[in-house]
Amino acid sequence: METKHNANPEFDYAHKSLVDALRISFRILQIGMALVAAGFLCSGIFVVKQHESALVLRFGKIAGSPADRILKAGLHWAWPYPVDKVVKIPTGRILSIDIDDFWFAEDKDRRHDKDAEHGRKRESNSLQPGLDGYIVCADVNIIHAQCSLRYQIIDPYLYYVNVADERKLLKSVFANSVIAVSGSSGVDAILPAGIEQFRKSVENRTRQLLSAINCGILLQRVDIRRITPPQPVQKSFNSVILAEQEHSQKISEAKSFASTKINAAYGESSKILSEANFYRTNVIEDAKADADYMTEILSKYGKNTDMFAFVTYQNAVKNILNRLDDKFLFSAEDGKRRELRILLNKSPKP
Amino acid sequence: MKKNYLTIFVGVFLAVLLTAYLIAFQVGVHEKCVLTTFGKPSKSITKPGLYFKYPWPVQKAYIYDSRLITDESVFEETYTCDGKNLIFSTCIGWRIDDPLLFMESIGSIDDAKRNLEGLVRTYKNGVLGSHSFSNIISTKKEDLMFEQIEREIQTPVAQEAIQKYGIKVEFVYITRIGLPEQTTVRVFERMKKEREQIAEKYRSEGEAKASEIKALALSEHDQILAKADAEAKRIRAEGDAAAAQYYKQFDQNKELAVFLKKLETLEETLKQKSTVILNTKTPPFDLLNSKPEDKNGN
Repeated sequence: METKHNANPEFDYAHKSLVDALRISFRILQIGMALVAAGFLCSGIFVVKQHESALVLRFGKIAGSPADRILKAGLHWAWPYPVDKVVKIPTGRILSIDIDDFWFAEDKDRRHDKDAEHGRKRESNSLQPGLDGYIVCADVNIIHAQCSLRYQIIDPYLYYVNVADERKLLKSVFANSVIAVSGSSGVDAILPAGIEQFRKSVENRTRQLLSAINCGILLQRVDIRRITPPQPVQKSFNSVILAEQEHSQKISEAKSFASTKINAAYGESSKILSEANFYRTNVIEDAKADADYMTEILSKYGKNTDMFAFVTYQNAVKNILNRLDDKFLFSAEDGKRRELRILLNKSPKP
Repeated sequence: MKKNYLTIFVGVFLAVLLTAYLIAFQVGVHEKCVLTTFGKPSKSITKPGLYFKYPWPVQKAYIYDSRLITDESVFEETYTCDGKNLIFSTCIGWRIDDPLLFMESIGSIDDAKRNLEGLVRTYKNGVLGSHSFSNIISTKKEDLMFEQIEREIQTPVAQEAIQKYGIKVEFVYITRIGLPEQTTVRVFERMKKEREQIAEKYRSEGEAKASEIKALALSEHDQILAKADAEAKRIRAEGDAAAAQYYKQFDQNKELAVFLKKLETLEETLKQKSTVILNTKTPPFDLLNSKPEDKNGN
């Protein structure tokens, strides 16, 4: 056979080709395996982004000591699965969740469908439990609210170990806080002026409850997006707001009236005092001038003042008559009565 | 030979991998595990790590999530001890504490939810039935027992859950309080009346307060003027008194002084727009009545 085999050069050539092909295939397989091994090791490289933290679970346990078990942003390596498992948690971001559990069903069609399902006639202007969300206040008044929670995961370890569904947890804790706070506050303590106080109280209680649960979540802020009385009583609430405005307006007008009146009084008072002061100065100066005049006359004329009096009188009469527009003279004989008719103000001057 | 070693290595490696897959399992830091042997729970694992078992069908590992699970109950009507009906919803926060007991008594998370909801319902109705409406909702802080009610529901639920199901109840919260649908209609009617009263109160208070402010302002106005008048009188009197000092000068010739003051008054009062009717006997018009010879003294 060997002689026969060696004797066939074509067979030798085929055998050699097969050996070469196998060698090449095996080499490719080796390279492939090496690449797979390298890829396997490289698959453990991971990047923790700026807004993330990461935990490495090595065979289920958290790798690292409590001080260094949380990986910050950067390039890291861990053994590939199934040895290590990397859990990334968005710790750097403020996350938010909208809560509409206390808002009425706005979709009318949905309401009708639901009512039809239950085979009942719907009360007009009513709220249907389970469909319409609302808050019952301490005085058994009803309000609706839509809120948002802004929160941050501050402890990735506690968060990962304790929280299965953060949204459900947050919704429940928040709902409890709303019920607890509104259950002790009347509607007038909330709407409209007390919204901020209500918001803060709910925020504080939610924060406390989350802290007690030890879930690694910090509530940053509760936002009340919308808060309103139920639609059937909306007009009544508006009329109160209108009445409040009227109340304020009336008081404002009264204050304005009071201010004007008092300022006018002070103005008038100043005028009265000013006139009095003027009178005082005038009367004193007048008297002084008269006294000085008298002294001067007496020093000049001594006791013989008749001529002075006569001249002064005549000058005065002249001055007066020169100034006057209408002068009437009439002669009357002694003992005779005469009738005198004068038309005054014939053409009044402007 | 070299080629055979490599083949053997690859084969052994794959065999090890397959064996590891069949006999090894991990329990995470957030998990708990029960190992069953021929279907019978045989071992509870509560610490995280790498564990081994006999391959299936001998042993099987049941791994449970031991993190906090929150479940909200359905909205249900219940009565308070004073006969008022409220619609309540609660939320229970729980986690698997004893996986072996959990598996033996319940077995699945969904069944656990149903069992816990039943437990909460039982105790919730009992607790609320022993409290009045004002213990839950009230403007009087001293009446409110909201957190105590939650504790009263939680305590027996937690005890029973841990003993019977191996479940640790972390909290029971009241998450929704509602009123029956027909009651909401009556609430709206009452709210409307209350708002009307409040609006009327605001209006009347506004008017009353505005009137008060105006009256006070008028009073203050009058007081200010009265004070000013009094002060003005005092100032005028002061002026008159000071002027009187100078009038002593007139005593030297009273007749002349009176005559001059009269003249002054006359000049002051008879200015423009006055009409004077004089008798011809009034000097100097008396000259009109006299004859020329009188002028010459004849």
